[in-house]
Amino acid sequence: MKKTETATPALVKAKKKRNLAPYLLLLPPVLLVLIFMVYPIGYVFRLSFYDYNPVMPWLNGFKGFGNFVAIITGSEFWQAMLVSLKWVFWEVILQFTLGLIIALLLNQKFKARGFFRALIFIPWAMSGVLTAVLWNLIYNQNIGILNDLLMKVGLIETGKAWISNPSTALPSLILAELWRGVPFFAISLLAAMQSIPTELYEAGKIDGANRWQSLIHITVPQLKETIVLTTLLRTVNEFNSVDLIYSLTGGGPVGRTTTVSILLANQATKSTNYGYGSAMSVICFIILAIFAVIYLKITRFGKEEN
Amino acid sequence: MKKALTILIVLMLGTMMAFAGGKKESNEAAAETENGVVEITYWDNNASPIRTEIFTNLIAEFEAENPDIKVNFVPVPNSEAKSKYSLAVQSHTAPDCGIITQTWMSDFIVQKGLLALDDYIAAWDGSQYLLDIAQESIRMMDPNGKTYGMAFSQTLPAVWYNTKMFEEAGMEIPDDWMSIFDAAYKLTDKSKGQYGFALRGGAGSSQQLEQMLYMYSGIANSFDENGNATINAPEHVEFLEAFADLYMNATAESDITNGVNEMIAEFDSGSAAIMFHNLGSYGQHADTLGPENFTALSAVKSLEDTEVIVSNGATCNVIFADSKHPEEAFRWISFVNSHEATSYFNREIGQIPTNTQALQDEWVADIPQMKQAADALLSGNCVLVTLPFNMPGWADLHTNFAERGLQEVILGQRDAKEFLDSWAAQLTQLNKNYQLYMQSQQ
Amino acid sequence: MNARRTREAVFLRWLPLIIISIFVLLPIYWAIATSLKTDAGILQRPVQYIPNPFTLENYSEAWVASNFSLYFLNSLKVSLASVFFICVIAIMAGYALARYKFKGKILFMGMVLCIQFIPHAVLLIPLFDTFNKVGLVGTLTSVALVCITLNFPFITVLMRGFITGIPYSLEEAAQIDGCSRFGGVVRIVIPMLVPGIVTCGAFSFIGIWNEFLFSLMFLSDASKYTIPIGLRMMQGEYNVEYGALAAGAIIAMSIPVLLFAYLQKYLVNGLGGAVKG
Repeated sequence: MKKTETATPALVKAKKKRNLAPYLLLLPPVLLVLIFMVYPIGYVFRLSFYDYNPVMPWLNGFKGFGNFVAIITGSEFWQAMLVSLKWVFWEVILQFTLGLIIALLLNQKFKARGFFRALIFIPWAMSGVLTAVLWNLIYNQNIGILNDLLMKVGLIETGKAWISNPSTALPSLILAELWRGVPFFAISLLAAMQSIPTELYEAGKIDGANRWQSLIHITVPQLKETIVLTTLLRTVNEFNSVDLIYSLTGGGPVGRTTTVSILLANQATKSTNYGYGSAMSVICFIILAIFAVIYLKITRFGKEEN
Repeated sequence: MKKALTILIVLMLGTMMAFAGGKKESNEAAAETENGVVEITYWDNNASPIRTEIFTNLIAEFEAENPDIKVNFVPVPNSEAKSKYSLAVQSHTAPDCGIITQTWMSDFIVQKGLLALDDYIAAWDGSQYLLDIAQESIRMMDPNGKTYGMAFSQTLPAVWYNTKMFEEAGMEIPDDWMSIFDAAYKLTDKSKGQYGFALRGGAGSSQQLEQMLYMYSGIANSFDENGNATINAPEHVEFLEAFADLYMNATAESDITNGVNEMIAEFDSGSAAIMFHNLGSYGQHADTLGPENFTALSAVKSLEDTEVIVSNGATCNVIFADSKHPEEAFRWISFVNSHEATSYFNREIGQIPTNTQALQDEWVADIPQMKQAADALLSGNCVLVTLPFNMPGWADLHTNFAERGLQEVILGQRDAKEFLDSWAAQLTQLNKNYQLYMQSQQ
Repeated sequence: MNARRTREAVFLRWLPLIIISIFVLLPIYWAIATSLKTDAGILQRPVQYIPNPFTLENYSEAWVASNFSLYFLNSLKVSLASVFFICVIAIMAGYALARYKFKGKILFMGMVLCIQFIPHAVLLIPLFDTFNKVGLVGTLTSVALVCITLNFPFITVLMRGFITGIPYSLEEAAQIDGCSRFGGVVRIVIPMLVPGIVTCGAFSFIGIWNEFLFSLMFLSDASKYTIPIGLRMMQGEYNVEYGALAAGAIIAMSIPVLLFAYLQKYLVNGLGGAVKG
């Protein structure tokens, strides 16, 4: 007994070192979260059980599950949820597909590659205020460039009300957000492609794989981790995104573009209906958390890292 | 490894703290400087380069006259200004004084965030030139009738006309609502992309509707003697039906989601002949259409044949309850409310000064729509309707209920009467709760 | 062979690149054109494709009248400090997550994800309270701290992915050659992590450079304002200064775009080089 202990002091020490290091490495972020995030998140959860609106003090007080019941039994929330689902689904799918294509293109070696990389990056760097104003000018029925171009080409005869017509409002918003969101995927995927060992492609070539096959069998599996993460994060981002929808349609016409986040912004920011808004955030939180767990399970994220 | 890590972490946290500590000191150095100069902070709720320039000039002038006071001017962008002010009031970090619109006032009064100015105003000799009807409307914000602000500018709702389009069609400028709608139909020529009316169907739509309804009917109060809302009066239903009919027949299809900027852009690009907005957008029209090509009417004839002006809330100076230097703050805001400053500010941004001396200034007489509004305000014959924005929850009802409901009515998916009835029921309920609460607070 | 290669280059590179570039460029062109027009030109019918009259006034208005040079400096301070700390935190934590097995890993990942799930707007009031209590409200530090806290989680997880992609065997080889573990990280991991660091840096920089809500709510002193606040001032209650807004936003985005245009050359295969070397 004693013998073994003395025989391996170095090993024990090494083991201890190993065990402590990750905790030390994680200390700064954990501290940040403990100091700055625990109270705010707890506050939101607590408030969700209250009626709290500072300008209507006569209504304030503990409400139990009242807010949740009101939200879940009302039709407004579920209508908005449907819009949110459409919005998130199309955004993530389209942004990812286009982003992957761009990343593949820009991963090739050719002249002017740097120029195109910087160009693709621009929509993302553009300030949110200008993006909104810009797309407003583009889609404008009377003075918009889109209508003017389409009329010149002869595709339409009179100007269309892109963001006001109930059938084109959501697709038009999706296109604008797509423009802004593509660089995120393009750049993440491009960066991740840099760590795919070139030998893999060489080996594939020797086995007679064509471009398509090497994309499916080498690139995509090697990018899997990045793909899973970026799509998950984008899902959350798009679910919570409000600014473009807010300034282009304000959620109209008649709720066609009212996502859950627009409802939330109306309740918690524009009106000071904090209790109700918090309850809605908590519901969104739960939905997103469930989605994330299922998504990570299905994609077997992080499983083959060892 | 472990050592290196520890050092790194300590270093990081150290820098963070140092970064934090250093900045903190410089921040707390504010408030009062050693040589007896008092620093006060003044927020502007509708920041723009031109307003910042105006206030920079005014402050320089004021500080020269009052060397014991230093004014810190903080421009706050309009889009999030209400949120920022609310947060400041809730957390007791509000500035000494600032500009708010009258529609926010009751929210802050309920939270006890504002200072009653009655004593200060009584002791100030310039107060005799404050416009009475504006100050009266401000007193209505508080159930106890105290004055929590001084109006220095007003943007009355008005009907804007593209006079060039009227001339080309050989038509006169209409001055009652049904003739306005008629004109809108006549001036619509879809093949040329020209529409009679620029309708606001998106954000802020129902607030404009509320103003139009009372301008049309001439009903002077939002609640009758029993405390029931008058928004669903039969005249209002009739108006809303006619208004909803305009959509697509005399307006562009895109109007259904128009926010204020889109609506103004439509008028300014010459796509629409008539628009209902307030006098505050004068400057922009002048830049784009040219000052000779448009006009505005703020006192439209009502069904009662009276001239009705609906107040959409004055721009007010207020002092916040947490201010440590209310005396100095009042000296500054009374300076802004003086004849010269009010006149200068409003002339530069094209709004109506709510100061009886400034209203008689020459530049006011030079702008026809301004002159007409000034005459109406000074004459005392005109009915000034104040909408119930003294009631907390009034604005929320617009955001969370009426804007969407109005879109449904305009698109023909909802009955106008049913919509107004539902709105009225909610307003009545809100009013009852509010009155009860206010009585319990006395 | 040569003809086939040219055809391939056209269909697999240039054609898709051009189509995508048009989609990307059109709004950018429109932003630039808008910034060079007068307000009347912007709202004119028929649409003005080429600014006429052409004016540079919007740029001088944005720069001078709105105090942009000052906002620029503040934005730079907040962004650079935040990005630096985020990257350091992310490399440390990402390394721990990628290379060690330890209890609480899942818990940490869960915590990090949870922060993303709450809409930031509802965190505003309690976060403001927190900073108010510590006396940090009104400082650029508070904005930087919020930016770090809200942005590090995703960057950490992303960084973990990049570190996982670097074979551990390379580090081990360095350790056998007599490097300490830390030395191995500095000499092997960091150089190979450059594409990852560039990406993570770009991600966090963009987010923070354009951060508006928290900056506006936390800062109450015009001398500490950042660029996004300055831009919002071009959008008043009753009018939008379209030209000045476009000009200001173009000036604002020039920094991240130029930075990325320079840094993108590091987005090259780090592994290829390492194996050869």
